[in-house]
Amino acid sequence: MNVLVVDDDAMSRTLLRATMVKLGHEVTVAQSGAEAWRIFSATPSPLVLTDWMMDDGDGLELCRRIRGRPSAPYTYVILLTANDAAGHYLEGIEAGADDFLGKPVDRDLLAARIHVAQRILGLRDHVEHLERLLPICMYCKKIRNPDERWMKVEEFITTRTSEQLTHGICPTCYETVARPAVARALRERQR
Amino acid sequence: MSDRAARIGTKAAAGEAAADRGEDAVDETALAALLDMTGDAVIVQELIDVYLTDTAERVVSIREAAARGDIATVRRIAHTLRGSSVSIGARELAAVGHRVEHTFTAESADGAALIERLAAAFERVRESLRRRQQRRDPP
Repeated sequence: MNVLVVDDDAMSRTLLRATMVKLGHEVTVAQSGAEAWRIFSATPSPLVLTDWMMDDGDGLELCRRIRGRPSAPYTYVILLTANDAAGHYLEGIEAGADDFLGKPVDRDLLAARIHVAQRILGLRDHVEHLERLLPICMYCKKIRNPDERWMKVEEFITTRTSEQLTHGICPTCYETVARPAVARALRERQR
Repeated sequence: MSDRAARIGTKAAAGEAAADRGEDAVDETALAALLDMTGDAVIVQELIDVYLTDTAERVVSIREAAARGDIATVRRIAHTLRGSSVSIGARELAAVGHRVEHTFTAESADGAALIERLAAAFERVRESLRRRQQRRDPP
């Protein structure tokens, strides 16, 4: 899994990168929240490990920015905390963090939390996939809306998207439907 | 005293007591844990080098910020210094850093004394890591 590691302390960054590589992950590092956001905006990672308190603003701001993206794939965020973060966890959750890890990071605990992250990301992918499935009638091709109403494909597209429809004939239908219909009409007229 | 202040005092006292007992400024078990985490002695040496360089700069920055009465900067840098010191096993330095982070005030004479204790603790860490390096790479 591609992981973005964010820490303003070079030693912590180096240690986390080496540990994550040893655990079999691909790692991108950033040394500030601003740099992390630039990297993330260009190439979002499914997992972000970020220090809570950094020089240029904190990990909470990065969490809020990640959560503020409209309709993006889910990113699992683990906040790295000093041991005295007790009493501030709710603040982290409200900013959008999914989990916390105390520093110095224990490798086994880190590996376990990443397993949890992968499990949750997998479940979210599954749910998002199910949400994208549209029930369609096998015969008339009407689509069932979330409000249980069946509607024509044309109506579904024009009400659920910004697209507008204009009628035409595709080459297949031209050959199999339109051309025979026109030929039939001409024959009937000649009679 | 609040629970939080009591916790801070206890942690700091434990680290400083270890120094008073003449224990090494760097806990070898922490370095062994770093080797276990990374699986590479070269990376551990890189971590030590980065730590020494950054911490030396942080001690200077803390001194400068303390001299101009910039308490927020002193505490912020002490927070980072404390975190990396815990990772490298510099228990006494981490404990003093913890105390600076949570109790430093520019006005009191204690504040200035605390900064000097921080600098002295770092010198012991540097010396300990230098001796460790010499043991590993004899001249």
